[in-house]
Amino acid sequence: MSAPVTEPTREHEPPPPPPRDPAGGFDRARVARRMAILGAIAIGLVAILVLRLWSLQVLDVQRYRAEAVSNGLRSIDVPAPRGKILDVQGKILVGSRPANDVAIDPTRFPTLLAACGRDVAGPPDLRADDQRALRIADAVEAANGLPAERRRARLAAIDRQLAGGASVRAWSGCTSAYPQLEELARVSGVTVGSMEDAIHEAAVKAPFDSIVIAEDVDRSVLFFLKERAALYPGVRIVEGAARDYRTLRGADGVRRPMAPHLWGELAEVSPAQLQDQVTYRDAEPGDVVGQRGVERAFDRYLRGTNGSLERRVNAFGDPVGPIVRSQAAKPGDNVRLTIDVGMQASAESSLRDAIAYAQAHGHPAADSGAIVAMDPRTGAIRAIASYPGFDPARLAGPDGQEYWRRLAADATGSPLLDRAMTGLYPAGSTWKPVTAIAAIQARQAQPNAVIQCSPYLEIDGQRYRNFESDVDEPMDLVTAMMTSCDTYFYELGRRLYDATPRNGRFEPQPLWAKRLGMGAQTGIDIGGDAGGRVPDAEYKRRRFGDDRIQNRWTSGDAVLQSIGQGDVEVTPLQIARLYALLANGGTLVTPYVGASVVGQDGTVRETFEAAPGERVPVDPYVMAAIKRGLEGAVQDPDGTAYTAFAGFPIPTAGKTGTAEKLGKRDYAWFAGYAPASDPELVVVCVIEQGGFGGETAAPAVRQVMARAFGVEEPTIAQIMAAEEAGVYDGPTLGRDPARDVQEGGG
Amino acid sequence: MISRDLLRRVDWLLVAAVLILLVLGERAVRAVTVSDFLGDPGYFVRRHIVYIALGLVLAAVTLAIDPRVYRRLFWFIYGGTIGLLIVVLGFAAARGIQAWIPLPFFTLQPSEIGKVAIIVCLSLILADCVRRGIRGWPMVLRVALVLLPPFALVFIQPDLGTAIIYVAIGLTLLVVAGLPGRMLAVIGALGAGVVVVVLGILPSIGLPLLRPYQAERIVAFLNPDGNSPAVYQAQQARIAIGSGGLTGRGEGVSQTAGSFLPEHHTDFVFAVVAEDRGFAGAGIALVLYLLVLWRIGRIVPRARTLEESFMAAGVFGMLLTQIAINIGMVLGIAPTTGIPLPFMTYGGSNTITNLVAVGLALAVGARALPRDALDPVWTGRRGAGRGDPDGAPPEAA
Repeated sequence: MSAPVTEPTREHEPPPPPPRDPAGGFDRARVARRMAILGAIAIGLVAILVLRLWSLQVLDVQRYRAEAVSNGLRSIDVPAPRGKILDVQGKILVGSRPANDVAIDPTRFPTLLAACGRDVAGPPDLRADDQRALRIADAVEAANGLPAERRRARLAAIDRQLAGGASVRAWSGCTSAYPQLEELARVSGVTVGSMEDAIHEAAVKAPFDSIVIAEDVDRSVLFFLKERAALYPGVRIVEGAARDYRTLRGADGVRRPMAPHLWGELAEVSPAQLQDQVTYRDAEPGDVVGQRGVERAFDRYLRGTNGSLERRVNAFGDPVGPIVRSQAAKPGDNVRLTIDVGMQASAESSLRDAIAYAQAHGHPAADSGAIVAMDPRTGAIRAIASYPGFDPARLAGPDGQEYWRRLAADATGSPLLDRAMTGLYPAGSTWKPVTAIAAIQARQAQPNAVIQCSPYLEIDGQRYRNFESDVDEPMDLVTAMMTSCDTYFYELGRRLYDATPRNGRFEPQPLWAKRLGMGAQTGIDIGGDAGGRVPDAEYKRRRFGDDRIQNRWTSGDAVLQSIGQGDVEVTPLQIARLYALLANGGTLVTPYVGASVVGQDGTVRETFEAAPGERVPVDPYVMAAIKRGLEGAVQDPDGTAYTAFAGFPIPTAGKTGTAEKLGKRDYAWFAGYAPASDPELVVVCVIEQGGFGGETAAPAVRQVMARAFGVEEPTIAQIMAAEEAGVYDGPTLGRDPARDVQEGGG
Repeated sequence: MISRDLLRRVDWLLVAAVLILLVLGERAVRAVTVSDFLGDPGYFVRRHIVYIALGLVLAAVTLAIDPRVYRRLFWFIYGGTIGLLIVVLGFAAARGIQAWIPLPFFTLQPSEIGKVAIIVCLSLILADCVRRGIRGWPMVLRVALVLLPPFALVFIQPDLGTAIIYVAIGLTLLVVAGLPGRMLAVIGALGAGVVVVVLGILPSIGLPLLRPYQAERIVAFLNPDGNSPAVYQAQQARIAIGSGGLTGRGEGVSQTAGSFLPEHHTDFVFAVVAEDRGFAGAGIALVLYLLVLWRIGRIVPRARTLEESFMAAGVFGMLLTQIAINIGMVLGIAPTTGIPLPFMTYGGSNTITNLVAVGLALAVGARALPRDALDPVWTGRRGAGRGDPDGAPPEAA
């Protein structure tokens, strides 16, 4: 055997079984023939493949090259990073960071489009047409196998909705054609409904664009999509931007975003906003702009200019290869605010702690409130807080809509409401300076003239009770202000009513209230604050119309208004402005939060000057008397806020308020300024259903002032903790006179 | 382990062709998977190289094993394959197919290993048939009986592509075993009939045997301008291949690298070669495949025994079917089926299986009779009389 293969072979094997086929059946000639046939088949098949390859690659190369090129080039908008929002010292309040958004391009979901009726859509210029929406809806229903008569009924319903202006979710149910979209919705945290809305929007409004269905998604979504790229041909990750909000750790250890109400949301610019070339200067369709608050007011600085680049992209729109052409994005400028991070933190924690304190000390209904801290000389807001708050980052996140719905449905706390700027409250006793100014300027009272502070005052057959029922002594303005005697101010209110000209043209008190900025928007630079209401004869007429009994300005209206009740509605910001006027000697300042625009390189581009204050003609001796009263309220042992400020080293002036609101527990107010002689800071606090102002609101103000003036003091939270531990031996935070609450404020 | 003598008898031309194809495949996988796994451009190609290395080692081991051993291992091989194919049904499906058993570092695809196992087992059975004079329909029946369990298990995964390969292996062996032409014709007609029934008649009477995506692929093939993901895939493949032109567009800047073509590193890897290297590169790849097939085919008549001859033929049939269907699919002249391209497609089980199959063919070839020792009858008239009588097999009947 000439084949020395490996080991001995045939010779040693037992002879093969029955010799019908002596070769063990191995007919090599036949095998070779058969193999030759197979070889011929192989050659034939490979020849076919080569010919096909030739036809594709050599004969049709131009056509496919062109398709490949158009397939791969795309102009991409490079969003400009939005400028940061800084505090007065340049600390970052709202930062900017890149984010990953999930965008969907429905044209890449051929089955989806077929199932959902893109084929019946007609030319793109009809795309916004209601008719088209109807046709798409019909195709959807048909695709979902709805019988014809039910489809007609559905269409009629949709038609009615269209006539009513409601938007139609024509693509509703479409995702069932692509079950993986439901999976994507689950992973990225958006609802299938909002995804279908996005698909609808993408298909009907902008049929050749992709549309973002989830913003700022987690990295896990990124990986999810990368791993399943083939399942999601039209879904890609696009570069977006997200805001980073500074947070503050509360006494309970929970981190909460700071000043969430101040910033405002970001959203794509609307056609109406594009017309507003002041606020949204140089905005272009598709830009993301601020909708409210600081983001809106300074949008033109923060936004920056988008860049663009043309580059090769892959099928998912992810850039690959070199950039063909590019124009760099110009980042937005930073905006520096007048807000001080330290004071803002103090305001927010004080507010929360004061509410917790009120709840723990006989006011279980206390649940919300606001604090405003302002420089009385300029109107610069140093801190502005509203409680409860919310998480603006989450509001901008994938489940933002759901989160918003939940916040909006929260009727008790209404966390979306900015109580500092838009919360409307009866002013209570914090209003008394207004009454005093009106009465004295109208020559109906003198600061030194003494009026009996009686347990009640009967006017036109109606009895108006004093807050403190056991007081019955004569008082001048200073004492009345200090002890917050209601009957004194009822008397002023009665006199003002009596002094009202019989022609009813004007009423001195509402007139002065409006001069002092009450019941009107403050003109704050970021806008969006509420006006409120100072009732007068005109208001009564408007409100009660032809009702001859109700529609007149009565002594009761005047008396109730003298202590800031009787339909008076003001915002904490307005009260802050009023006390700034008292503090600075008669100038009505315009509050503002924007300090300057700072470029990314740190250069100051623009500085916002405080708007010149409006001089209100109040005689100096009137101001002096009121200020003495406010100082007494805090510094005199008989003062309503004496306990709350006991031992506070900075001489402070202020006024407590305990406002009544129908169906609610008393609202606690305190408005004050310090140092009393040369005021640098006004702080106003209101706590809803917080009870007596000297007890719950004043300690919060004290804490903010302590922070502002560098006074080392235990915080409310620390005092509460000490109380709970039984080791607190200091005075209670504020004093509740614990007198029966009648008409009026404390 | 492998004697020098054996090494000398290895068909190095076949080895070289396979190695070049492996390199071409590795380059293609590397070029298109750079951005597929975020943060790790080498993720896929690194694994691919490990698979290739593992496959080469296992091929060498297969070469070292005398194929005669397999007779004693018949039940182990056959039973083990069936066992794995049953076990895999218990694991989670990927892309709707229950074909993978997750192991550390690797997911095992028993249906791929099954290809080689079926070649070995069918060869042994067929050799017995031939020796015992069982021919014609009884032989077909035995082949069918051996094929049926693995075929059924793979079909219900459902992995239509691999099931087709199993059948193709069986058919190839029947051809080589000398099944008369008319019987082959009958089998072919039966096969066509089954296709018509499964595609046309069963769905129309409400008994769809194919999964919707399978039907959709066939519809997409018959209607290439339609509107479905399968069409998208085929269109993108055509654009990729067509844009390659005569000399290709180079690596990395292409359609396929840009992810326009899904499955670019797996079943559609040939499109990457065609785009990056053009007609020149893809044509060379096709020629290399033909070279591989030729070198394996020429082993078949020279094999030491009938079993070994059938084994080489089975490897031939398996490779030919995979190459023809895969490249035909990529080029748009065959419907889309999940059949990998030997030596190029990314993936552990198929890379290793195909290399082991080549190892098997090499093992048979290295132990085959030398060309000049063969019977003049089959070496052709040209070589008549030059054969060495000592090594000549007995005369054919």
